[in-house]
Amino acid sequence: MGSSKEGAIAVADIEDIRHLLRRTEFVARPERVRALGKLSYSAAVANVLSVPTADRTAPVPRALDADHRSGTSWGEYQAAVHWWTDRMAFDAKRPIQERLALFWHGHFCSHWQVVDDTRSMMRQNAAFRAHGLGNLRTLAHAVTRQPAMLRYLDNDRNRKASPNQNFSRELLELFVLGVGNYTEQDVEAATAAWTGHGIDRDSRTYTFRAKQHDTGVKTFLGQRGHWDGPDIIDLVLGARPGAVVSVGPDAGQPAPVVAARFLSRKLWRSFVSETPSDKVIKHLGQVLVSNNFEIAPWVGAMLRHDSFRSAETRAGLVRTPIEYIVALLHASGRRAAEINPEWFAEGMGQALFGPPNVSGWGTNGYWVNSSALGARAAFANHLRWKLTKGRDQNNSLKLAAGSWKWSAELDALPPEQLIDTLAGALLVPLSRTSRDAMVSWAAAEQRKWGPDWWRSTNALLLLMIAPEMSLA
Amino acid sequence: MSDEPVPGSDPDELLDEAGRARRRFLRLVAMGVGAGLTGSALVEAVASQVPGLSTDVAAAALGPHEGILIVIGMYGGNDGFNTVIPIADAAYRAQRGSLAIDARTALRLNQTTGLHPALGTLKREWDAGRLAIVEGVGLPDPDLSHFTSMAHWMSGHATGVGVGSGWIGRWLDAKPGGRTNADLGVSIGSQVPLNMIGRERRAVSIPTGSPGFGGGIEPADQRLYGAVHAMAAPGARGRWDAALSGALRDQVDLAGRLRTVLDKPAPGPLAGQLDAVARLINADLGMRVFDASWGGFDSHAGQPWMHTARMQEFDAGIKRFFEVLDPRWAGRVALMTFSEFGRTSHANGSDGTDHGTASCALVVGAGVRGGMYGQRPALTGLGRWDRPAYHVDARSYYASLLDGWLGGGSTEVLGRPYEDLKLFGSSPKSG
Repeated sequence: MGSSKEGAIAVADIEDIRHLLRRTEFVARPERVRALGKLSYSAAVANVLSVPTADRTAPVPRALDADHRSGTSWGEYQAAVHWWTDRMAFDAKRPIQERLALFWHGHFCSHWQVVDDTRSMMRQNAAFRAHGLGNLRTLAHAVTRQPAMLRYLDNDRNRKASPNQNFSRELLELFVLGVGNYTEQDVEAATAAWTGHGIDRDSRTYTFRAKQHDTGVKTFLGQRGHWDGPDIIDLVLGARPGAVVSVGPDAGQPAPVVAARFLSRKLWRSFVSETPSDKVIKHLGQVLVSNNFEIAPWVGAMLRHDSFRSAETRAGLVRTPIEYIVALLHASGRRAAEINPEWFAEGMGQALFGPPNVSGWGTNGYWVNSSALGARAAFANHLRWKLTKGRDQNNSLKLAAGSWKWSAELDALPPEQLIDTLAGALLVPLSRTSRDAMVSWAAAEQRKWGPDWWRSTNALLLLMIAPEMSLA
Repeated sequence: MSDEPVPGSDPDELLDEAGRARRRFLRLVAMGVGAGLTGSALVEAVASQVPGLSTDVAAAALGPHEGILIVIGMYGGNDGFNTVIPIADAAYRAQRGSLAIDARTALRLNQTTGLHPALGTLKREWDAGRLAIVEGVGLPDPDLSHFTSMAHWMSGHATGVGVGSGWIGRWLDAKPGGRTNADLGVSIGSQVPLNMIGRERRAVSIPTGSPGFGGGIEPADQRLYGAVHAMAAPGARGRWDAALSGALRDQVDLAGRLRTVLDKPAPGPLAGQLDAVARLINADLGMRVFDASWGGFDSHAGQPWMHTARMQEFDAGIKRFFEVLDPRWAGRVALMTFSEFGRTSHANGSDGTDHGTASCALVVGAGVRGGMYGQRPALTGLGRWDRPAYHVDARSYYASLLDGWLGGGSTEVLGRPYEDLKLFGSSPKSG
């Protein structure tokens, strides 16, 4: 399994490094494996988390931050998907920033079509990037001021004269506290607190309308006060003291403790495994609380936890569609605008900027059914077609890892070398079963048909749809 | 504004090879392969396209009085007050404001009741005495969270949701041994909701829709698909590796078979599902319970267009079902609706309503004793955030269906006896 002593000088096991990079940077890039392979595991984690300012503040393309115009277009959606996908696959120096932005996007959900404004969606995306590895309270405050969020959950219509509970309920249930940890009175109090926080119709920017705000006293999680919307977050996340959860399995605990556990479970299920133990959740929750809701030490504690590197963890998480797409794009070296992953993502079950509902996407079994796998295969087939388009005697297969002449090199390779070469280039860690099956197939192709056009191109496809390619 | 995920899901790859072959077979039938054939004749005709299909896949045909129940889930919280409209109620008009449906456009059932204007097919069923409307259905200690309330409604157990199974699933559990669960319960779609999952048995999920990757006809494609099979062969693998492999094999196999089936235009989210249900019933394969559900009911804003669209889809679904269903089955089927809660009686100023409690349920079928059941929730005097009291326990609604149409056993399935509303005037029979 490899070195697991915190702070030990011993160099990390290379398989631990690859696993760490797959889970945090979408792919174990060879240059990253080389760089981190010289460090202890703990130092490798620190390196993964050392996100430069440029990554945090990467500006959204100007065309996607344009002055208000009504609605949004398919062209703008594509451009947004391409830009973000390229950041994940190529442009971020420390891709964990993007991996976390993806996590927060699936947590603080909103939907492109419902929000119906490109600039709002992209500003929200920028907030995930700016604060995603920062402080969770700051992140929550930033996100709840986003017009995208206020629109998606109807808080722009939450007024003192006619309260609308949608946003406040989902804030408590899905964003910060977890179902069963609050009462209907808490929802009503939060709703009243959030009245008046809305959007200016013309500029589609955040606006607070004092006239629509309920300034009365509310009792929320046992605390009485003239609470305003942001106070609700401060009470739940402990910036304001005294809020206590009064119902549910954690009744009696301070709200920030309960919130930290709720959030830790979500984080673990996205990065590690579907079934965290109560013990690990309590531990991570404590780390978050004692670090004042700073995200980096919390994520670091997760990555350094022994369970993160267990055999069960390594085999236990299915790559989400976006992660699958990013891994293939990275290996291909082709940018998103050339490949149009957005044509296939919805069939796989995960359209970027389009979670199916406010609770986001699921895990593992959620992604695995025949039609969703068929969509992954359709994407791989499309990518394969792009990579092999126009090949002839003198052309080369160009991937991120290198270039091989089709006829002179790939077509002429013996079966084992063909498979190993392409698997190495595509960064697919093949199991023995898969490798044996592919080598047998390649050998049979060669026997029947000689070195032929189809063998190399179909080998590419087989590697892309191998089960190992869909494991995180 | 958006619906919650439904509890439960079907990791279909955990079936064994025989189960997966049967599932491929059912999907072909649901898509229209072998239309007009039934039972063993159908199996023979299709078996050549499904390697590994065992001969006992056509379970025993339905017994002479065995009925078929089709569960129609409306996810998100259907607005009962605008589905079955209290057209003479002044409080409804006052509290709903512009969301109230005009008594003149509602489809009038009696002096005090109308149906949503889009429900023309349901109105014809009412006129023929085949529609039962149960008002005021709910659960004690209502929870206004989508996920929690849906779990309660799907569980349908006397002791609450902790049992971890659903009421139809437990009905499947109680069936005598020797029949696989795939014989009896089908959920249309790629997930099996909790109500169709028992402690030991569960419905099988049958997705419908176009086949996708694996339909290539070039020789090189066929050799490729052989390689996919070898690469994704069952063997010593981790659980998720195995699940991914199985799904991939399944997709390639199915696509190959389905490419010859003409693609039908999608008639709507519910109609497409009920079309498949009708085809599976016509095939006379022994199934007793189906689930066809869809979402988009959480009308916090924009309710006029949102709810109308759902009602149009609902009506189109019922219409399509009876168009495709062979008339000889008409006396065997009952369709029932449910939702995880209703809506507030007050509109909320965003042209919408918030999560509610008591709502209505509809049951359609030739054996139904048409009419009004339960009790209309009283709206008079309700404050803005008051939710109306329920009068019919959802489990009583389920008991009425289990005992009235599925042959009994409600006490065992639900954990204790519940009142039977006597929704049926006759037992299932062939037409």
